[in-house]
Amino acid sequence: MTGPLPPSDTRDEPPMDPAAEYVLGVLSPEDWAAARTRVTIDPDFAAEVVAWEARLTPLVLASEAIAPTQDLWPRIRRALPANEIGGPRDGLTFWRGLTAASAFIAVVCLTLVAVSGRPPAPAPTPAADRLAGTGPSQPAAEPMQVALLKPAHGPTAFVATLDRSRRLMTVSPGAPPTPRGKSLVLWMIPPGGAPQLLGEIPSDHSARMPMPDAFAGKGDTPIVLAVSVEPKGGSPTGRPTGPVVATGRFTVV
Amino acid sequence: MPIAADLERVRLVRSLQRVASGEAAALEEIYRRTSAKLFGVILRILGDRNEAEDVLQEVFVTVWNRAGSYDPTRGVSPITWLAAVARNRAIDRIRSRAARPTQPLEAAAEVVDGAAPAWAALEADDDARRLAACLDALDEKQSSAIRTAFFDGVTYEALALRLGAPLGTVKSWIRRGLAGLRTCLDA
Repeated sequence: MTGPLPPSDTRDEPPMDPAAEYVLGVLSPEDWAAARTRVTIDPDFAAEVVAWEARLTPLVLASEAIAPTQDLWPRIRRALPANEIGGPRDGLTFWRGLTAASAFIAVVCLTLVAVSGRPPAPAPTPAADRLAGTGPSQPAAEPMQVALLKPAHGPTAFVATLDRSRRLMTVSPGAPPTPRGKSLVLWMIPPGGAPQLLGEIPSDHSARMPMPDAFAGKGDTPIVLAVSVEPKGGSPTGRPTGPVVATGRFTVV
Repeated sequence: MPIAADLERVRLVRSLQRVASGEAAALEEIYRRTSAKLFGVILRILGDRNEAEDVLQEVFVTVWNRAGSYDPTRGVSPITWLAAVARNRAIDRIRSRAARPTQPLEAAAEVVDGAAPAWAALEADDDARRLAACLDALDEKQSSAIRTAFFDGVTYEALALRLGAPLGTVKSWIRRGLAGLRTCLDA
């Protein structure tokens, strides 16, 4: 029943439009967080959200223009990632930083491929190298699974690998976001299921955690790994509350 | 669309593309042209100047990181995209602070000085007029519920309390209003 609704009839329940209600902001915190996650994993839903933002945003654009304080732009300049790594005006260093991060990820991937191609290879991966106090990982005699966790656009934020023999999952930073005063939290989202908390992950060194049983299979997995930005110390509700900044799933390399 | 707005839209798209490839100078240009408009949007939602400046800073850091995700072929104008980022950030801020009544907007009198370019307003006004006409065509209860929700970032439950109406009725107003808007705007 998609015919036009008589405007005066308030008895018929009008249909839900989750994308519109998400953009409008009327959903309960739980539904809102679920919709926010859905944006990152359901392209059709994400397109609906963009369409609704385009429809509704002109409402706020009717607001009067008001100049912010004069020293705000210098503050913003200092807050740009280029400046976090001592970048000059032109942002070149920022790009060098990104390139270095991408190169790091490429090295991780190439090493993983090399390791999986040569069963007795003794070399640990760079990801394992970055772990303080851990010995070289056992060479893998089986296909390697790697998950590249990326934002919607941009370089890989984290790389997740599985060590099946020791039932460990390692998450290493590539070009991670570094939200000030916030925590990055890793979730696992089974197809059609709710996000399950895996734990907080640092943005400056690798983290290891027990391998979830759901990753026991050796092939590609439909389970999505997602990183969300949460208040310091983790999600207050046990479910994602902040924006999802990177997603990915394990594939065989 | 007026030619001036058309030209400026192209310039803003180009600036966003330059930001996506790492040119900080292009971000400064976007700031110069749009910060007053975006600050007005954020201040209208938050009602607090200091908080609004923090959020505007977040917006431009977000634009620096995510300019590449703006796709001009999707039919969303660049100023609308920027305003959506600003509004989303402002609503995030509202949701992260304890619920409190909206403050009176004492800062609204501080209008932007004459030197600030007004071009962004041209196209913005065009889109805003169309939306306003479609909202005005809705039942008054529906349009006012939608306006309140959009500016204040309130949930159905909070909106029902504020309007003193049953939850089901408020949901019905909003959903019917949204369906009506879609029909009107996409026509």
